[in-house]
Amino acid sequence: MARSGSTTEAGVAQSIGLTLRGVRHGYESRDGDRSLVLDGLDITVEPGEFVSVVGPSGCGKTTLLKALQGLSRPWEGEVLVGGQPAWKVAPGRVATVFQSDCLLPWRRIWRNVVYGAEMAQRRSHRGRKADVQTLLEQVGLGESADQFPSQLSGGMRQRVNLARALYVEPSVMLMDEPFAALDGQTQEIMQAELLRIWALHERTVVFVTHRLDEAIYLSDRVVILTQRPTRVHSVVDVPFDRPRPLDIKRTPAFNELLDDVWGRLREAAGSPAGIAR
Amino acid sequence: MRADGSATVNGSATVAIRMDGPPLEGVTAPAGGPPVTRRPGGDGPPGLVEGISLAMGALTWELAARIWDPAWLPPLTRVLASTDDIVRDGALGALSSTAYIFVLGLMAAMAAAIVTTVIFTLVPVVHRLARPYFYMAMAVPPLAVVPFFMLIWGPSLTARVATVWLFTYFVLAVMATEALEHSPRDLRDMAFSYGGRRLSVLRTVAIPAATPRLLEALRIAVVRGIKGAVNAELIIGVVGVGRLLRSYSAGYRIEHLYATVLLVLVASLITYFLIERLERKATGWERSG
Amino acid sequence: MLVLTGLMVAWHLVTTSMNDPMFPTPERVWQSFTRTWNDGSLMEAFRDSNSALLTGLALGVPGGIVLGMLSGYFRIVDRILAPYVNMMLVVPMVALVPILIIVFGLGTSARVAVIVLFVLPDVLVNTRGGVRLTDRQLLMMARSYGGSTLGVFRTLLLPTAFPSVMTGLRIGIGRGITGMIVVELTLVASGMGGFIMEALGRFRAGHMIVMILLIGLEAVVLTTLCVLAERRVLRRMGA
Repeated sequence: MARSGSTTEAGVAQSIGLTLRGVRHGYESRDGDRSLVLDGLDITVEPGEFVSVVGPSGCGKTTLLKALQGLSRPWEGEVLVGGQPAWKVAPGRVATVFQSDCLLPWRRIWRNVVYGAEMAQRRSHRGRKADVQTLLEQVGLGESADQFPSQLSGGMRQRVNLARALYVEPSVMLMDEPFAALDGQTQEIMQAELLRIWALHERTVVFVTHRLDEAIYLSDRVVILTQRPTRVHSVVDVPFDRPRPLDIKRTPAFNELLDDVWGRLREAAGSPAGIAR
Repeated sequence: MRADGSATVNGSATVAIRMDGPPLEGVTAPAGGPPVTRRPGGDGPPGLVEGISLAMGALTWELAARIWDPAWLPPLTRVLASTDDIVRDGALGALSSTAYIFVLGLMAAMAAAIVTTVIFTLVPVVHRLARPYFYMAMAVPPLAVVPFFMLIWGPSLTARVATVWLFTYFVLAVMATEALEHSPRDLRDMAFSYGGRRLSVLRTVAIPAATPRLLEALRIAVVRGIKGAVNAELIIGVVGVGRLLRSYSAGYRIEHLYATVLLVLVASLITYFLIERLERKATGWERSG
Repeated sequence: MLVLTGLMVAWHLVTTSMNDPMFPTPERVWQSFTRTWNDGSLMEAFRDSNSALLTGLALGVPGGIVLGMLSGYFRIVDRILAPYVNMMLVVPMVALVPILIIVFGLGTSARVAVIVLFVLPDVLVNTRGGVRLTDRQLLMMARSYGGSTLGVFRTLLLPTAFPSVMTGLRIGIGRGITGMIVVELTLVASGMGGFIMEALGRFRAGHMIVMILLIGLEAVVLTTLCVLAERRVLRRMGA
């Protein structure tokens, strides 16, 4: 179910789409050997859409994210963010949430949240504590503004990571297995929380994960990538309405979809290794 | 125990653990050493047991001195009584002159270390070239070089400040360079991903991350600096505490000698606790909550 | 090796251009070396000081290890000793030298006492640290299988503590060398320190530098031996 734009007022102007056209990319080793990873990717993400990307291990999800961030330019093809080449995009338009929370341990939580904006040199964000407090409450950490990262649990720290990304009011959010380091229960809770928070502003999200149930639960569409050299194997629509409660994962419809995606992934991978249900 | 698993031991011990590298090519001592809990007695404030132990020690001293009465062990009480004698003799003045060379030498060493560290971090080639020379310089006990300073500069202020400098500079330079070199990669990447510029990232990530190590280096330098200052005066003995010690020992004024030593002890401990408090305050975030 | 030649060259160039008797050229220093070697004064000083060092180490190192192990294992011992050990680490032990001379007189015993005082704290602290590295859970496991105290000691504590003990030994030796010369430099002119002070009095820069280099060399050699010995044993233990 594609979305043409976000429904909230603040969101409409902000969310933008992503396009990858014929992207071929890889990396160079120290001795100059070039390894091709992405071999002709064509992906379109509509503004305000939540898209998951799954694929076998080593299929180049990191390379893809780097290209979307504009940190490296593809060997061939184009990566467009809101119509502009990714590397030209202003800092802070695209925010990335990594698996590791990367919080500055010497700063209090609220100071960590403003850090992204600080680096992106957003003058409008004066780094005032009051601005941060609302956002912290949205992610469920209203009480923690003055604490230090060492005082928070893993799940809470990831929320701060998320808050920091949200604070720069990005047009696009990229998320690289953000919940992978958390324990099973916390993962589920965080997934639900993420949807709740996302619903507030409905930005464009590209979510990379190994977990198929996570991919389906969270997104509007799931993109399945092949083994290297990587292409898009298929794209699956997730027809469930929002808001989605966690127990949707137990419904037959969900599990049918899960089987479908699982099957496609097996095809894409060529072997069952490295895929988590 | 720090979050990254490394830890320190008091005073000169850590210095040697980290940098005592023999100048044989490719042979280096284990860097950082095995993690050791911070200090004997543990991290917390001294408790009842420690207090009792000290009290028992003092008591033993007093009793042994009075009952056994050897010529070389005056009772603690008499030693304490003679403190105002030594103060009248100018002990506090002597202490301040010792403090003076300590501060001067340490400042000079810090300045030199900052310059060295900046150069080493910006131009790694220089660091690699200089490293074997540093190891060699650190292998020689600085104490042995002090008479050489006296040869060049005579029993002057310069010689004494140079001694303190020698005791502290190498520690500061080596530990500071190491601190800045181990800047956390993932945090820097995160900062860059938000569009941070190099200077901002240096300011907001590299330096705060290095601060605990830098303060630790300072603490160690302070301990070594105190040693350097007292050594300088004992050897070069013109003014200051060292001279007092020598004259009292020459004159067999035993109680005054002990009193002066206690004075040095107290002054050193106070200085140490001040710097340790500073270090603790600034690194509260490293101890896990 | 390149490093050393570079140093030599630099030394030569700088000192020849300075032409100051206080800063002798490598050749002058070599002359001093041959002279003092041949007339035996160098070696005599060396032997004199080092005999004290050996005795001091023989007392200080085992003492430090024993106390360190007790401190590491028994918390109560640790806390009782703590104030004294901490003081010994922070306060310059040098300040105690005049007292020790009064107690022990001007002979070798004073020097040995000073060396012990310099060596013991660092050996203790490192040994203690090594013992405390032992995983509490492993200890419980060994005990639960009925391991005797001696057995646990031999098979668990000792191997875990070993690297730290070796580090302590290495540091202790360095400290011992300093202790060895500190008395001689300050109050009792004999041995290597006395040699230096005499050279100072006679403005013999060459002699001074020879002895300083000798001391440095001794320090380097002894610590390198420690490092190598440690590696050998670790390899034997299969680390």
